Amino acid sequence: MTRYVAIRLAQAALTIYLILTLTFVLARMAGDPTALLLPAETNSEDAAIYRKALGLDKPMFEQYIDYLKGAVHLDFGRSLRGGGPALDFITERLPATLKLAGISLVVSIILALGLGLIIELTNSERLRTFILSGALLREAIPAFVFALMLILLFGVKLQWLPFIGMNGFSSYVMPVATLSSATLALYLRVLRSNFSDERSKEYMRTALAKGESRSYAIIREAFPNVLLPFITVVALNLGFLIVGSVLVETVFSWPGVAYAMVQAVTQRDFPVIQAGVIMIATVFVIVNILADIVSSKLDPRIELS
Amino acid sequence: MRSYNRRWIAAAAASIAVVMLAASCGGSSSGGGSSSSSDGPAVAADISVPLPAPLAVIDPTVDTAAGGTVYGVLFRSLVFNGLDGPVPALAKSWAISPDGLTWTYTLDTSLKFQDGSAFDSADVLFTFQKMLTAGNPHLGTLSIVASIEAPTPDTFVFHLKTPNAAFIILSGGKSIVPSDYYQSVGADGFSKSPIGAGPYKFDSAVAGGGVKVTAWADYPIKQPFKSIDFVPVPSPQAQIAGLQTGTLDVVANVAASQVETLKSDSKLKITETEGNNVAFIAFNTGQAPMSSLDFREGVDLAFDRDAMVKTLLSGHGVAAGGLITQPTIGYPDLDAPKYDATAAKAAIKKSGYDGSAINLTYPTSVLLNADLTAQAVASYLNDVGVKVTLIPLDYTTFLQQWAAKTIQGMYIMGYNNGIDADTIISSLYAGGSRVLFTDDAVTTAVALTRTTSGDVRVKALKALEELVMETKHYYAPLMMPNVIYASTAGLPFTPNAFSPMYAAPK
Amino acid sequence: MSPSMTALRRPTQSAPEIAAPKNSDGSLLRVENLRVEFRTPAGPVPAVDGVTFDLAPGEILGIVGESGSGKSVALSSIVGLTRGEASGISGSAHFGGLDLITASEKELRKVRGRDIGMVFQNPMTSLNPVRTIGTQLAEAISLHYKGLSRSELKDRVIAALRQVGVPAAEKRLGQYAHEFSGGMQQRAMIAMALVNSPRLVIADEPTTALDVTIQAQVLDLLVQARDELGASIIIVTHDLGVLAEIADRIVVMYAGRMVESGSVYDIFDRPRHPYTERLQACLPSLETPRKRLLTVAGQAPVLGARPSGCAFHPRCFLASDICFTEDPASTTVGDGHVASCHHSDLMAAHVKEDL
Ligand SMILES: Nc1ncnc2c1ncn2[C@@H]1O[C@H](COP(=O)(O)OP(=O)(O)O)[C@@H](O)[C@H]1O
Ligand SMILES: [Mg+2]
Repeated sequence: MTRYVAIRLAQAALTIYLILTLTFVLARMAGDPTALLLPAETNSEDAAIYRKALGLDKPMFEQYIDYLKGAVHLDFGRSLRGGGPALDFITERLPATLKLAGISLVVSIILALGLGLIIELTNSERLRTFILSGALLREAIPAFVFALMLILLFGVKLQWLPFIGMNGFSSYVMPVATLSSATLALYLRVLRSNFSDERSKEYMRTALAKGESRSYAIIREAFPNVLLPFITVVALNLGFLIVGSVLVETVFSWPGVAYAMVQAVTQRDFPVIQAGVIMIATVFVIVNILADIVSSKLDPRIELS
Repeated sequence: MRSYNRRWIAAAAASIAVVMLAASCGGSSSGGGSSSSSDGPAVAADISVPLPAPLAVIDPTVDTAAGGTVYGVLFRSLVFNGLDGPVPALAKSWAISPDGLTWTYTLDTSLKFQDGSAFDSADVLFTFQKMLTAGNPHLGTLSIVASIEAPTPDTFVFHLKTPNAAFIILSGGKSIVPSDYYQSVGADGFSKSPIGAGPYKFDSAVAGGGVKVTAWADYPIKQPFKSIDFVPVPSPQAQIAGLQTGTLDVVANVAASQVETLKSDSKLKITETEGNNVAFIAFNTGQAPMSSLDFREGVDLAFDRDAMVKTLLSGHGVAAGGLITQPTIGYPDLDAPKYDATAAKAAIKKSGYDGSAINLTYPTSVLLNADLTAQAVASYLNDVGVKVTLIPLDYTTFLQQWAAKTIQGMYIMGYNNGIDADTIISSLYAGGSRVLFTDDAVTTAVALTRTTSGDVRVKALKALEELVMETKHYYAPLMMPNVIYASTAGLPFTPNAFSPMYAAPK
Repeated sequence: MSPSMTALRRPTQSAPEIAAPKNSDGSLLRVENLRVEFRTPAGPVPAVDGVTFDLAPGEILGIVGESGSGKSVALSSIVGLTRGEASGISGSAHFGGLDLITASEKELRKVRGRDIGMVFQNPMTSLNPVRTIGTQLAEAISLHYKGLSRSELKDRVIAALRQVGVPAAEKRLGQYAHEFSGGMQQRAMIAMALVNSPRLVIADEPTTALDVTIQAQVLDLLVQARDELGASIIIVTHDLGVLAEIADRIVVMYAGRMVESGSVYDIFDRPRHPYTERLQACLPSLETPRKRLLTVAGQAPVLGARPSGCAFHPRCFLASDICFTEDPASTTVGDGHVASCHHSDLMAAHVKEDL
């Protein structure tokens, strides 16, 4: 176990290093930020001075080394726009994003598992079709549009729920609903196919031969087996959650990392982009390791080594 | 993701450009006294205003971006750039040396900052020293400054490299910070609890990059609002929804297409003013056929601008005769070129244009209604025999090609005038980093606008604009979209493109 | 030899009995005319048809037949395990006075695992891979006997594992199927089937997937269950040699039907169906090693492609015209000896010649 964690941490470090490098390359490829940062009337001499002050005139490799050195000390420099430490800008916002994404993740899992189990237990084709077509309909609507529909209905028309910013429990309802419902159809499909795989397994026959009822066998025997591949799928789809957060945070004015990042990208605010990508990547890597550990805890056949 | 970016940039750029609302409850003349309450607010209210982007910091010495609106509220500058030109603020008066190279501001040292500390030239010196540090984004607008000095507590002097009449706007508009306080708390401390001399005081940070400010009792003019919550609401749709539910009180840059719907809501008030954004076509005159004056003139005559305003802006805008917009200081009020397809065809024929397709590049955001506008332009050009290939670029890519002068053929762009005509002049006429022509006549005309003042300058500006547009056709101006505000009905304000939301001196 | 199985008595606080110790005619299980149909694209097709046999308490019944002949379907249908899939089940299966074919699912659940234990071919896949052996065994008890304390349950599970010869049973409770060898897995399955001291154990090819060396040990456990617990056993196997040693009676199935049934002696010494005789011909002698699977020349018919008349006629050395058209009826050819063949008398003569 310790050995496993050590290896995974080493892998994580490598992943983060690669992401650091990729971020650097992509950000620099995107072009010179000074065109965006300076007013249009700036002449080229001043732009050059500015570039120099930001260290953008140095050879790429030197910039890269500086950047890596800084990253080791969690120093991504100061925001080109605001001047504050880039990492602070991200870490201040990280909790809001983590709360939203975390709650949405949990809700989406509970929702999918709950509905998936209801479908399996009732074994009603009609109920299944009903739930799945609802989920598919939701999947077909882009998150942005879905969020706006929610806002118009529950925010403007009925005025039940707030939709600007993060203020208390009720402000979570619509963003969480948007994010967690996006993956519902996918999860239900995964559950459905896993369940039908497991239902035909021989241990299910053993369970019935022992005197278990079908529902009992579905919950106690098939479910733990279904959970394993499901967790893998959920972990693989965390990326969705991040992409979804970008839209949802923007529409709901959520004070999280995602929309600050979008802003940083449009403004070529490299330090903030880099700090943000690294933070998100780190969270991503950690969550993936956790998912691995959880599924290995659930699956005795996996040895963590 | 991509289209999302575009929306965001469009919202941000447009919002930054246009400061959102004004409470022009008449002020007294410069320097103080209480305002006449007759056209002021009946009840001081607490309002919420959306910010298109979160504030990374609240520090006008290092940030030129999203803070624009907020800085105008929290801080005061040497002069106030009002609708009718600069009026005294922290400076009582200013004087320009005959050669135009030395600007001397006389400061009103009776004024105080919001923490009660005294104001003098040390604060101005500190502020401008910071802004003139290498790497500071303010350097772009202050590039003509050779040196600064504060010879006495109530005088502050700029020495310039070249004369520029518009320097009053450039230097006078910078927010001044209290030197002692800033140095004692440091940059990060200042950003967390900023102090200025503006009409509203910092109250608290609002989650996610917003700020709450409250009226400062010692500001010489009574303020219409008790407090203002600046809340980051990046999505234009959410801004409108917030307005409809009463969560927000003022939204700037309402889409023309939404005006009719919002007008039917009795709780809302729609206000429309001339904007300072202009859509135009520019020519790369280094290439044929754009090098031909006849060709450029032909293009200029090819558009039915009134029809374009009607269809592309739903009528919320005006046909453009030049690049300098109505609310801008020095607006020359040129008539839009007459639509004349026959004359356009003849001119193009005369130019010897061989009928080969010409690149027409445009940014997919910032330019209002970009794709439709580009298609309309292409269609009008096709009618007069000019074939174009449309090249849509995302805004940042466009910006880089633009700054590098690598755009081939022609391009369409939507550009925001600053407070003064000099913004357009320095970026699009004066041989700067974006100008695709070289013309001594234009250089001379530009110099004249920078060495004159008052009515003479206005005349010079008009002459310059006529030269660039009507004589040389270096640009084909198209439209100027109006700025549309929606606000909670009954709020005491009359918005315009420049007055921020405080009672301003006149 | 494993320790005595007498520890596998039912808990004292027994639940209300569903099934009596035997049927009114003295048998434990009496299956009559069992027919099980499955839906196919060509309409419903019987996988099992006309299966009839009875089983006395303490008797061991062997079922033989080629793969696909309907042995598993017949046995799972008896305990209602095909109810979800089959499109029609008819006939009767009286077990301790209760007709399992018409019994409610609730009644069946009480019988399964308590009165009837089952052992399957593939212990690896028949055990749940993500639940410990201990949990699965404990559940087999607690499903039927509520209110046992944790420690009581644990003791019973350990005892059950010991009875079937799992060493260090206590330690193995917390282990998973994959941590057991194939033989140990099958022992655990048997422990699970025997844990409630059932009256009937159905073992469907319990040794097919196991190493030859372990097969005998597993069979010994079943015989021991009969000897010490008095359980009746139905065992499906391809190994006629095994049946010769342990079975009291044998049922031979071909293409979903019983073609012959009788005592071990009837089947081995006096087969009255050519198929039974062919099966025996495959029986390895002492000199040749045991073959794993029965091989009879020709192909067994697939479901839904049943030949006309006697289904065995395409492979039968005695086939005559009548065999092509007429389905042979089951006829009693001796005491408790039944065969379905038009030429069972010819068979009698043929077997005598051989002797
Ligand atoms: N659930 C089912 N659906 C359709 N056909 C089935 C099903 N289960 C078994 N069968 C068919 O019934 C026949 C008998 O199968 P089975 O009883 O498993 O044979 P075996 O004698 O080898 O145990 C086979 O042809 C098999 O394909
Ligand atoms: Mg079978």
